[in-house]
Amino acid sequence: MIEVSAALGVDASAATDTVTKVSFFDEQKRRRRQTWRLSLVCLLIALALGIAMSTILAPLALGIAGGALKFAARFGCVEVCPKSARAIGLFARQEINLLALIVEHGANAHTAAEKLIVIRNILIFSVVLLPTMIAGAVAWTFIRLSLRRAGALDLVASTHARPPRPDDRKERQLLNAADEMALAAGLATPRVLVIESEVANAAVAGTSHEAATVLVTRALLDRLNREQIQAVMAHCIASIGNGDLRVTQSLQATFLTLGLFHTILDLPFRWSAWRSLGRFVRATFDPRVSPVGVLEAGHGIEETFSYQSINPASVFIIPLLPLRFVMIFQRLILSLWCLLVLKWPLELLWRGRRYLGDSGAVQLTRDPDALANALSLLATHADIPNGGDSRGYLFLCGTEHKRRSLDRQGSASGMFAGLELEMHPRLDKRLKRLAAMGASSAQGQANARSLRRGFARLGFARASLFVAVASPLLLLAGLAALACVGAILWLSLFTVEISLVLGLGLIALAFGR
Amino acid sequence: MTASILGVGALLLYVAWLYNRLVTLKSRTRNAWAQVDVQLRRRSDLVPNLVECVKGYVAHESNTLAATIELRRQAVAAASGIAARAAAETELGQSLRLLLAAAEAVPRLRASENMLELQEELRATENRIAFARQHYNDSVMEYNAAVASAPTNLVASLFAFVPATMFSATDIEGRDALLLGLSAK
Repeated sequence: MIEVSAALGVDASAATDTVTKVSFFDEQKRRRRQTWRLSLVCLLIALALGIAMSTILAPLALGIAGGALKFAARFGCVEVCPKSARAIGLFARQEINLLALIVEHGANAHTAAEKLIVIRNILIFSVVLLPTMIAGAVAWTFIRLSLRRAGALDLVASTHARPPRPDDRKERQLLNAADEMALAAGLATPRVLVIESEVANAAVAGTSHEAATVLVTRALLDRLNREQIQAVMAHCIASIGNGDLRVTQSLQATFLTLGLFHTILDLPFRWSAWRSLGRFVRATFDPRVSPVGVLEAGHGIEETFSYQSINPASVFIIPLLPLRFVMIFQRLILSLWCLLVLKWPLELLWRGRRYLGDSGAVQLTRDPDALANALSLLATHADIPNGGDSRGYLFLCGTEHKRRSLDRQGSASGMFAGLELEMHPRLDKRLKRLAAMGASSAQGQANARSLRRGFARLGFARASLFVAVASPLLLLAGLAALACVGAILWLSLFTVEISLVLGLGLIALAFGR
Repeated sequence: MTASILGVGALLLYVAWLYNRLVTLKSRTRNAWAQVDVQLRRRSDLVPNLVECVKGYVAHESNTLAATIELRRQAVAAASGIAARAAAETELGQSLRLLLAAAEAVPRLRASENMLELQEELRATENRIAFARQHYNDSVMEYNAAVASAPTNLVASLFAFVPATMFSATDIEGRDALLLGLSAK
């Protein structure tokens, strides 16, 4: 009986009023549910971004098809081609009419029947977006496959990791800890590599849980004792077992799909778009390209979101001016979405994975104190080792000093320049969760920043004054945030409509007469 | 008519899914036991080396030495049956601990590089056994819970799935003592 309760991480005698105890099983369940919810949110946002994307690409594809048919008509194909081109024009005109109907009725649809008609019209209308969405899904699948092949192995190359030396006592301990934790998790022992660095941190890289690599810095080995090294290793192996690598691959594939379409749209305007597209297609379909090559090609694709990709000279390509205008506007909206909306679920999702890893480590070691001690030792001067910046989120601890130089902010996610993501949970929150799972040493630090304690220190009078001042401010901030989201939504709808009306209108004018 | 056929089909699929879950869990416990076995064997292989290492220094503990060798023989012989094996291995673990404590009491040995290496090796071995056992017990717990709880218990009784035995650890306190004794970095 004692063994069971100890095994579940429930320690009834040490229960305190500040932290409600949970077993690591419940904690894991909770974190898994959180992952599902946030993945769903991210998926919906990605879908919305995909729809926005389709509103430029669909008219563009129709336009190119119509143009090709017209061109073919000039060189002989007199029977079918003009008819088809005309059909495209008519289709565009019909879609515009539908759009007008939707906008007109959507605003003053009151009864259920009227609303149903609007929804039906939207469904009929969305046929025009379907091909691009399917193309996007196919591209996503392929990109994900190639990322799966690549893993995050560029991290191994860029940090110059080396195999551990078995004759060194600390590195021998590391290897033993890896074996032990793999046994505890029922997984194969991962490859373990050591990074020669002054910074104490650890990371997981690799393609799947059969072929994963754990990277540990030498400073971590020097600073932690055996139990703590074991706890860090347990976090890494739990993270492998939880499938964190697959989660990153899916997220990255989503961003790369968006980047791919934007690169295709960039083709007429900048030479480097051709180069990066070519490299990317080769990396996706050619199995001989090395993992590092695949990831470099991915970085090339992400270039499209940087400010340098907007070439001012391209404005002078007069016939493509409307396309350019719509594109730049769309990209602006896209970055607004990423900066203000997508950032939150993404961060929460990944932080949830860290908590899940922590509770997994407790399950493997049955020793929450070791991990708590290791985290507090590491976090005091936590940093990402040289060469690991672009994959900082794979590390156990994030940087504690928040102000980072601009290029590091961008590459913290490797996705969007300027999108500053805090992918790691705050130390005190992590310690609090560990204390809830039974770490007695974590409790003092975990409570250091709790609200209740802060109020107790302020005293009743000052605390109530604080609440009186802070609550209207908080309310105002909430309202401002809501207004921001509303404005972004409105702007996005506006952009989508502009690009559709502009694109489809031009096609209707060109071919529909 | 079609509805009933669909219903029966769905039921069969559900039963098949439950059955597969049981099979997965059971094979997981079997695999986990194999790991425990490997680690126990590894320790048994280590014992003669260890005894050889410390024999010269702890001649006054000849009883412990002899007991360790005898217990190792018994543990290897008790290969069948999880309960018997667990008892024999527990005793072997305790006697190894005594031996190590005796070796640590020798001043010449305590600080030597060899002794530190030996400690790390023995500790890794003990840890491996403990964690393999933990994984085995976790798997058994999950499997037994599935066998005992509805609706899997119906499928389990239909296909004769029996609960597995835990590798019961009577030496939890002993293990803690070992960890304390080995807390040198």
